Amino acid sequence: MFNLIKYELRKTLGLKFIILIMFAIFQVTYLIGLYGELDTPLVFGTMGLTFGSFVAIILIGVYSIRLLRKDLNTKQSYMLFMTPNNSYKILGAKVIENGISIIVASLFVILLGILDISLLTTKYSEFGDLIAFINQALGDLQQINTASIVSTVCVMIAEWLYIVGTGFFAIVIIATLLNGRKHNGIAGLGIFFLITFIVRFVINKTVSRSYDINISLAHNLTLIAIYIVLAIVMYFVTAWIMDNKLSV
Amino acid sequence: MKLESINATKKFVGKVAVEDISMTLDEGHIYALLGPNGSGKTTWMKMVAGLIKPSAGEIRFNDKPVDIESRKTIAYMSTEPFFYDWMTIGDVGKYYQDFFADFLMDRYDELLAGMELDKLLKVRTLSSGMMAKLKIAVTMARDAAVYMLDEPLNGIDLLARDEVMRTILTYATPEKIMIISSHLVEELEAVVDSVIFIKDARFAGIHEVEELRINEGISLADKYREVFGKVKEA
Repeated sequence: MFNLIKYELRKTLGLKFIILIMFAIFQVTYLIGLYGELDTPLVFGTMGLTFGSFVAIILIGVYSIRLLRKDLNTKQSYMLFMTPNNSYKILGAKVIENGISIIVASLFVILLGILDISLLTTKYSEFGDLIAFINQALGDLQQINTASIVSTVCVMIAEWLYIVGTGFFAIVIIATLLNGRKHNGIAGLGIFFLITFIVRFVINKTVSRSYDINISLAHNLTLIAIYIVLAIVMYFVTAWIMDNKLSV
Repeated sequence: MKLESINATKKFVGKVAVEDISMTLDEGHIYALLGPNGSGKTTWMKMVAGLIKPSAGEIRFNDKPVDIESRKTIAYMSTEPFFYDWMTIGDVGKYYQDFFADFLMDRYDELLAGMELDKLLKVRTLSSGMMAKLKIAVTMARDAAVYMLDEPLNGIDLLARDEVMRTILTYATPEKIMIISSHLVEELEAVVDSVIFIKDARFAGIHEVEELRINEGISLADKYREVFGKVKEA
């Protein structure tokens, strides 16, 4: 298992390197704007880091799904399926690699965000006062606190893991049924969107309806549990199909 | 040690790739697996390697269906290149060492030296001939019980072919089963002792090459012409 994870990490190294370079460019732009007191680089850097954070985490998941598709539909599949590893291990290595990458990337952008906001409040003390004022105003209305922010981030991570798991499932189903035929990517996308739409619809009609406040710790914990269970179910069903039905 | 194919069948949508193939292969033999393009040789080998699941029937190795465990002792060399393109030749060896307990790095180094392949070369930069040699080197560096080589002589020059043949003979010890598919029937005749014919996805006979010579007075190539004479090459 360790070796499988090691090679999965190696396969995604190029993408992570590109993401790091992207962050480095925006961070340097942000720092130039901040300490050079230049508005344009500051705004450009801030926007780049903010959007880049979401894009990076989405890219890591999408790239992982793309890699599985390549591993199933090209001759490189032999590199995995000739080895004496069952599909639970092969898929598990991909899930673990992706989970670790998404969690590390999320922590990285959160820490970078905290660092950059700290630098901003140190440089401009009035910005700190503004944040304190917003917190005070919001605090009276919506009770935003550390627990709700952390749990919301955890919901996003859990949901993304479930979405990636659904992507894996769709790719494997299509590879099993269509066996590398034309348009299998479109068919896979269709299955993916159908499943995620149904799950989203059911969650909106059940779990989310029972909570009045959007940012509620109990609501978030329920969602985290649901997404984790769904991700686990997707993993076992997908690995079973790979082990018993898939030909590469 | 024996490898059995019991009514092995593989159907794809709109095509039967392998139909009802039954045979038993024993240790100590080098088998030529012969048939025209599209006759089902590669599909059958992939079923033995566990890459393709049979639609019906089964493949058994030492009285057990082939599974994850059998991959530890069955070495398969695909006809197509399959290594990750970011790898070097050295990385390919390291990869096999990481996953196959029977992989011998010393033997790999020796085979690479014999084939004049540099471990630092990137896989993506290799010519088709160099790739063919690398596939042979990394497969034969395993101390496997069964070797299956799909078209090992494709795309390589005469000298490299000689090297491949030498390698096959070196490691074809009495406790191994070796299966080689190739269209170069006359070249195979020098190394194999048995031949399996597959025609139109079905088993079309298994013969010992020496018996063909003695009993029928024909060579392997003549027998091939006899079996497939009316089959048009794809």
